[in-house]
Amino acid sequence: MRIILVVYMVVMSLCTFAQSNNNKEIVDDHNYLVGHNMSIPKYHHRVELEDLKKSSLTNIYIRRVRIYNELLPFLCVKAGPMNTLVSLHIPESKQNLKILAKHYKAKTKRLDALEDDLRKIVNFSDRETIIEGIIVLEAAIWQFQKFREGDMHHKETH
Amino acid sequence: MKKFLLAVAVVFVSGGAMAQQEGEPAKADVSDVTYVSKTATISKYHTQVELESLGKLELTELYMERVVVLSELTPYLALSFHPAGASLADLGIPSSKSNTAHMETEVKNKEAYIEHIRETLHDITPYADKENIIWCILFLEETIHKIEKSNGGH
Repeated sequence: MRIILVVYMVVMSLCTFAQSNNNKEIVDDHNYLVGHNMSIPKYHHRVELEDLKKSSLTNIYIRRVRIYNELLPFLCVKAGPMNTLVSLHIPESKQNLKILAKHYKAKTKRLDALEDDLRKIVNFSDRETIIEGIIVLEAAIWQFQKFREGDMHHKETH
Repeated sequence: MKKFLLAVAVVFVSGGAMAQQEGEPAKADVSDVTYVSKTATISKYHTQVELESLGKLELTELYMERVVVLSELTPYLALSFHPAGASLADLGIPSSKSNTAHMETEVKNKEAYIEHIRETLHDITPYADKENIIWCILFLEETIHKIEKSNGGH
């Protein structure tokens, strides 16, 4: 009986730990101009995309739209995932913290709604156009990353 | 006389109602609103030398305009590489009442967001180095050019 109780307590504390970790991630994004997970784990070649089903292409495309549009406005200050104002050399003044909070709210509202709408309408398109969309967005996101790392040349990736 | 006037009034009112009924479906099918506004394009592409002769304020304006154009274009590339001013039919989406309503809501969200982006960039862009703003303008113009010249995989 005691063993069962101990196991139960361990499981419960693990669950709480996992949950608090999740909460921490959500709270942290309030401190960044660009969300912590706004990077591409894998860039694709056209040949790879041509093997995928339309539903997978749609998911990849919508994710690229999200990442591109989170990064785009703050490209000029080289804001990447998890950059705080301080790391971007922007003072944490009252005004700037207000801008950051307002942007988090506006961006989340707009991009969440956009994702929902794209899930409804991208279905009407054909695979070739979706693939072309992914390629253009991935090439731009790749170049954004190079620019943040200090590379000022324009390079074609595909 | 009264009866005659009443009859005339009834005919007018019912005629008006019918005209309205006929007008409504046409209005719902062809919305003036488009996902991407007609103006989501740029009038001039720049060279590095031209940009270097400009002040930071002018560069900020050019940068913001390019950010706005790409915020408009990029979500809809999967439907068309020429989405500026494209109707639902142009994008291959049936112009049903519900699709039109979704689009109109989406366009309102987009306009509010773009307004917000302009305000935010007025405050944030001054923290950017001039040479970085120039790089961004050139790169964003390159992307817009690439999109406008593409045939979307066809």
